[in-house]
Amino acid sequence: MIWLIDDDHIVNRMNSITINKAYPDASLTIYSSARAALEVLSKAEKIPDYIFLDINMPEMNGFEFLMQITNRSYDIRIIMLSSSIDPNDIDKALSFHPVKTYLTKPLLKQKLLNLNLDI
Amino acid sequence: MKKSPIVIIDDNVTMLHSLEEILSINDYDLYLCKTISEAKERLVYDVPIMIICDINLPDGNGIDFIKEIKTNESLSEVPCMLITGDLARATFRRSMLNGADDYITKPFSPTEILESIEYLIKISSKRSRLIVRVNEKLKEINHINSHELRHGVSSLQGIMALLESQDIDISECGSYFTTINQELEAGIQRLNKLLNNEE
Repeated sequence: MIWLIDDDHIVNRMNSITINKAYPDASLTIYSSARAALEVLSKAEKIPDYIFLDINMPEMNGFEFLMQITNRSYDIRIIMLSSSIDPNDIDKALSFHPVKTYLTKPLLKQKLLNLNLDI
Repeated sequence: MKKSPIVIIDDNVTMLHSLEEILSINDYDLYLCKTISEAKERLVYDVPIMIICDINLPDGNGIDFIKEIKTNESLSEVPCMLITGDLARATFRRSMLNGADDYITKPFSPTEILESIEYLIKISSKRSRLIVRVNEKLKEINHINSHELRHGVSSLQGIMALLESQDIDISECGSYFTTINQELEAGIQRLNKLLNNEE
């Protein structure tokens, strides 16, 4: 199970096509708000295997989401997916334990296949 | 809040105390040292607002010490004044070329030294404020670049890749291009405003 958290509907549309192409068997859920995703997560019986997470989002940004996830000790593998190449953003994101890797947008099929996701 | 000190280095105790007396008028926090190594111990954990240093010291030369300060990343912006009895023009020139911000020869009047210290501290705090402002701007430019411009560009790259692999139909992309174009336009305008000091 893969979750995609990004407030941009164009990015979500593109990434869902790419993820479906690279991992046709994966079940994909899209959240356009990190807060909404967190609420679902707190009640979910089954947590996702992977979350693709954007940084720059209104209401609750990627870092705030990561803080909540880390505090609640969920065992989720997070893949950061942001347009930011700012080393401060990259270092900060990678300092959170659940973050396994940091990808810069766009999410291309080959980049995604190289991750060898365990689906 | 604890004030940053002025570090004064002179092996002549009389000179140290006379400087202490002159500077006590302005309520500066002073740290008096007789040697360079004593000063260095303090500089490890404290960035002073200024360093006042004699040239001929028991454990080294004041000019070399200042040169070292000016190449130290955390101390390079600290104004340094040399106080010396050496009137030779060559020593003055060597001091200035190695980073001294002022050069006062003995004997000096209290007014002369106080005015110079006040001036150097004023210039230095002005420079620090400027550096803070420039860094804030750079941070903002970095943010616009990373999150607004690059976001738009990466969306375009993503769409192009999907069109190339025929995973998306061109008819779907028209509205996407309009949205991305607006986003890029807004980013460029913000960047222009920032570069023209309009915000």
